[in-house]
Amino acid sequence: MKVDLKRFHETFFEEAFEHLATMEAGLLELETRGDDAELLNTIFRAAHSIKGGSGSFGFTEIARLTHVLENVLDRLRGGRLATEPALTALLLKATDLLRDLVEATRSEQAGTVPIDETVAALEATLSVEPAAAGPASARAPAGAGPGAVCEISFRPHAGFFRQGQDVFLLLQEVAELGEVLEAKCDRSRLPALEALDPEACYLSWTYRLRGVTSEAAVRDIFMFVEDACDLMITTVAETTASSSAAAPASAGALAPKRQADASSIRVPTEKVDALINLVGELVIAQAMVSQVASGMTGEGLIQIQEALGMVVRSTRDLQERVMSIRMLPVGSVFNRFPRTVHDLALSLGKHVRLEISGADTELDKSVIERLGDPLTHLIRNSVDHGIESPEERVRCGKPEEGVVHLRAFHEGGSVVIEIADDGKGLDRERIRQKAVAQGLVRADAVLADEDIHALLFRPGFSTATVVTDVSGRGVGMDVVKRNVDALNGAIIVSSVAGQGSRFRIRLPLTLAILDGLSIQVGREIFIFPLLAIAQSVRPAPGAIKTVLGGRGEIFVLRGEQVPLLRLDRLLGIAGAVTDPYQGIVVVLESDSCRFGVLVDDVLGQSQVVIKSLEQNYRKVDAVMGATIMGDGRVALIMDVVELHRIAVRRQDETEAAAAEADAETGAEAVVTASVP
Amino acid sequence: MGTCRTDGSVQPLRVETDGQQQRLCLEGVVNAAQARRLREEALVALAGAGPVTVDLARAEYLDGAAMQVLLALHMELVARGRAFKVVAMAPSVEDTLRVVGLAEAFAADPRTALESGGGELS
Repeated sequence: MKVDLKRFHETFFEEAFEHLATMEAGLLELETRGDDAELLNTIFRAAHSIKGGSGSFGFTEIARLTHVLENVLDRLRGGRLATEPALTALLLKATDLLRDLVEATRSEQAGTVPIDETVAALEATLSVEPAAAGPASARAPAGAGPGAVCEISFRPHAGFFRQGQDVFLLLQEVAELGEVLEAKCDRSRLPALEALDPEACYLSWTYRLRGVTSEAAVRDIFMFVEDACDLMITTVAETTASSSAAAPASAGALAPKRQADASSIRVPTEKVDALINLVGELVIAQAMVSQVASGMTGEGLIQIQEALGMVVRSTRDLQERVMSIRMLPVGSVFNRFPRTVHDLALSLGKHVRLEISGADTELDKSVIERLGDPLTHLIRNSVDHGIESPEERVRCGKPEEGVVHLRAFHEGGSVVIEIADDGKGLDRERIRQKAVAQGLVRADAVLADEDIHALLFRPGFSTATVVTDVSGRGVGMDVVKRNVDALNGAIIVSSVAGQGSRFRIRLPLTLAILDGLSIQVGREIFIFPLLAIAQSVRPAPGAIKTVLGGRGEIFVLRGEQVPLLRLDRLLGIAGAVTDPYQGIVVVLESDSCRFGVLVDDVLGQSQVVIKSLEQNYRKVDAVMGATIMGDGRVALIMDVVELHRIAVRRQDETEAAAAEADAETGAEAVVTASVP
Repeated sequence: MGTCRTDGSVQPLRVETDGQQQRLCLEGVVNAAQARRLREEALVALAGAGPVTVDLARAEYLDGAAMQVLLALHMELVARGRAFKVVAMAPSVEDTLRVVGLAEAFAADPRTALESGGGELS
């Protein structure tokens, strides 16, 4: 039987990236904690796991790089090399290269990453004479105690060879873990040659080793074959090592590790998504039943409604639990930033400390995946432009070291991610000058803080020399904004001159469910994301004015004029309310700007399951998705950002026409009150 | 030298026989992919008469799947009262066998290899 090893490759790559993250975080921590034995062991184990996996799958370049990396780390933890900044920098560089190599191997382009130079540099550190009387304590076994003997019983399943596994490579790694006291191969299951299936494994092994760092180090070796073998590890004090039975204490010590192993499983995202989709269907079906029951009368109605109440509660429970499967801690994206800040501060000659809190806060996987770039941009901005040089900080009476805070926390059903620094704050005047120079605002315009901040996110606002000169990234603040918008999020800026600036990104917990407001236009129902709604009002007489001879409309809300869109006209819906004073204006907010949408009626607030329109139909302008209502009807979920663009376009046209009319007649903008 | 079973230009495995003894020659890397053929060749050697010599002069690496075929052949020959010996084992293969606890089972006799001109056989 031929086994396709490729299906195991993806797991290896995913785990390799996790190990790389561990290595990177550990190496960065090493700079502050120095020769910490446990930290060095952690980094070593991560490198060792990558090496083991790459060897099993025949990724020779990865194995070659990790092998020498592992040797250097082994010397470090053995105290035969000292953790100096230059060496840490080399190890970090090697980690970066390894990441590139893993990425390239994943896309079957391993040959495109040159590793010879780094391998040579790492080997050169090994040729250095060991430091005199280096601390050997780091080598002391972490889990087993110096005198303890580790007994490993390894019994590959019959199909072991069919998975392409090389048992000897694994055993060689086992033998490298410590001093081999005994290596025994059990051949008792081996059949006669005639009956032997050459692809089946009949052998098993027992090892006794002294000086094994930890049981985890043993398990790391077998990480990729744990489903294909029976593995038993027992640690016994040397005095009782001859006893064949494991000491009860050691068996107890192993139990938590086994429990920890069982506490998480790797599941393909598609399976989770299928489950979420099904729960979504269930929620819709339940809403349909509820709707039918609400219209029923007569005997048994109370019982049905009671039973339905239970179904509703259970469904919501189930939905929340299933949704939580996709939730990941934001730490998985935060953990890249210590390195970003470290490298950037170093290159800029600044002293910057990154403080992270709330890394356990969970967000939907798809949100997390799209959060990396905007956050990187904002953090680099803070270090690059927010935090002053050490000299300047001292002049301002601040400590030399600047601080960037990266926080995540829950706030009112959303997750807020905040990037705050104690730097100089946004330079209002420079932003303003730039905007004037670019013709975005008039020279005499009075701009509130929000207006200044909104300018930062304007596409076309050249931020390169103002606040977002992030070399090589090719991402501007407008892209940050667009990314956050795409996640149905919002970004709020605040800044105090001389004290620092703060960017707050508010995000929904998930992209699969939306808190929305149902509205009706004609016979159609639409959903607006609740996060974008400022208010809903029945317009007061005279509050709606037509401009441009009826081609445009504005809504006056407490003295503020906002462009007004009529959804029925925009989408061509028949039978909608034509008299605007019989309808309701929903005031929406996007890009810190407001605009109104005239609808027939507001039906209420509800949580809706988002279905992709693109996947099921095609992309429709100003529509972000669809949902199925309790009565079985499909309701479109409106894309507020797109609607805003349409509104802005209308407003620009209005203003241009007004200016033209102004020039011609010398009169004020052509505005007439709409006749009710 | 007697007959040589071969069915291709590049053969990592073959059995040579002179009627009195069988010589099983292994070359390069012998792993699970070659284990089926190794078993066939081992059965040929077993079907012959006299002692069986496994020549590892040109073998670079043997993995567990290959090794258990040789172990089974060894057991069978011993049961039939026939001799089994491994010759011209490369130090790397010897190291592997030591690490996996099979050094004794395959204890090679370097003198035999020299006498038979092990390195030149293939």
